[in-house]
Amino acid sequence: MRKALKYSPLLIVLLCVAIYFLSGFYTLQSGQHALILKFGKVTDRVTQSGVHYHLPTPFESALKTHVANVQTLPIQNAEYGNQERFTGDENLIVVKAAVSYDVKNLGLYLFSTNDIKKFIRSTGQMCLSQELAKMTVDDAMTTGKAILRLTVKQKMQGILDGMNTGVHIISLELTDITPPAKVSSAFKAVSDARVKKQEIIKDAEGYANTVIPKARGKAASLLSSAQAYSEEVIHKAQAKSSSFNSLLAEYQKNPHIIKNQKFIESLETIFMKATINIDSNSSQSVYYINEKPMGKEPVVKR
Amino acid sequence: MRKSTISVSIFIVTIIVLYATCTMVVNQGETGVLLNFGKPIKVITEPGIYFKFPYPFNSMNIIDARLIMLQPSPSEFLTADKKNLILENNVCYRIIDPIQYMKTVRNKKGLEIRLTDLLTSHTGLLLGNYELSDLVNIDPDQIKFEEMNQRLTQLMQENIQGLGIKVEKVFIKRIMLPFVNRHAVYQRMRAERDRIAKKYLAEGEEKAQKLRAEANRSSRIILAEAKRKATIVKGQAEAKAMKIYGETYQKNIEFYTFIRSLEAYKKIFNEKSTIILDEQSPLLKTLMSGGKR
Repeated sequence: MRKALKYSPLLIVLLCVAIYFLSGFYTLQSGQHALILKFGKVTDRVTQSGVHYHLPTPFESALKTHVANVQTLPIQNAEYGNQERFTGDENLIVVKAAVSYDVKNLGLYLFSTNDIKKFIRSTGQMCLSQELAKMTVDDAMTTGKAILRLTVKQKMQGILDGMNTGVHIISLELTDITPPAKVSSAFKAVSDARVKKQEIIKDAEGYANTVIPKARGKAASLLSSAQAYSEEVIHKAQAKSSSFNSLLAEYQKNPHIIKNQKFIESLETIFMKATINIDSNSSQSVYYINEKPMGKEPVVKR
Repeated sequence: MRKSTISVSIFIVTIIVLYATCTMVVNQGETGVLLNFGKPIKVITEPGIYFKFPYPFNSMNIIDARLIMLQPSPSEFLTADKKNLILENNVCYRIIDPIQYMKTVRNKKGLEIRLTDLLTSHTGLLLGNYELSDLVNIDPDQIKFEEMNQRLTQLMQENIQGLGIKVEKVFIKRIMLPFVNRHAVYQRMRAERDRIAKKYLAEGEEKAQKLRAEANRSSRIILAEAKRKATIVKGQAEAKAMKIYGETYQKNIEFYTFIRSLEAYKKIFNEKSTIILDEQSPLLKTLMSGGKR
């Protein structure tokens, strides 16, 4: 007992030393990386999630950072004025964007700049301004969006690499591209006009789509009635021809009889209809035969 | 045994005291300046642990070695074509000569005020040589954004010499318009939109009219074509019929003429006709003689 007490000061000192050395243990959550610094100098030891050890404080330290996570940073001017920017055709446009990035070099990311987020934001703003300055307001709001996203992203990466920031730009999202509020109604009017234009054209197409088939239908009916007429004409001719042929055959057998018969038949028909005046040279009187509408039978008056 | 405890303790305490007084640590992203009685004697750029004599012989100043971004508040300038613009710029600088820096710059704030003033005056001077169309243009070749940035960087660097810092990059972050001028732009934009809207409508009308006219034309062509074909078909049929008639009647023209004349009479004489016959007419002979011959 006394012996233990005797040693106790040394034990306490040793215990203190042990605790000191144990303080080098540290844990990292998933997605967290730690950079080990030896007397403030970056080593190439980068640890990932789990329990790790480094020499205690004055010798080594661990800088923990979330690396695996993609970080998103809005690029817009909260600092000054409104969000309007110039476009190439000297119009104003409001652009809101957000950049996603991760860390490709932890040492550079942590130690090359005094405020990495400020650098990313400013670079993004500059690139946006420069790229928009080349586009028309219509391009920027419609077809140019994709190009804008891509070029700004590439340009940002180039500049940030030039400044050795260790940042990797993943993407740039244009969250909002709108005309300034004061002219938004005029822009709305343009898009309405664009819709109206399409409507007008659709209407005309509709007209064309009805008029032409109608004409085709009419053309088809014209043709088929012409064909029907042709058939009729030919059939009629054939019918007449065959009846004449048979009559002719009879006629050749008995020319006189057929001729008389035909003649009298015709007279019959004519006298049934017409008014007949009979002129007598001697008596100066006139006979009326078949005076209509007295009767159907021929009547002779004197 | 007590002695050993004491000696271990003394050893540890000595190490701690030595560490605290005779070493200096330069961290990553920093530059250390070793001072001898307040006089800078050595610049340490490599991070790590270094030996020094204890105070008051040696001391240590730590200077930021990172790239520092300064973001002055925007100010208004005039372009060569007398347009008011508000420019928002950024300056990136780095302390490259810590001893010079320590001698000339008392504090960071003072430096930044100086940089801001310089930037404002040089931007003003430089922008006086450029027009708005040099900054903003749909033709990318006309844009001198990058040139301006470079010239600004160069000008700044030339005028900041002797401070131990290097201006690495100056860039125009944003071009804005003062409130009054913004209004004029809005007005112009509205007028332009108006024009575009009208153009769309006119284009629509034009296309629609073309389509309608085209449709009308096509339908008329279709009909005319059909009429032509119908006429041909009819004509051919009639020709064929005529041929049949011709071939048939040719067999006995005299008889045909007789029959055809009778038919013609039947058609010519109708209810409205009056026929005047002579009493002696052979037609009436039978009728008048009362059946006798």
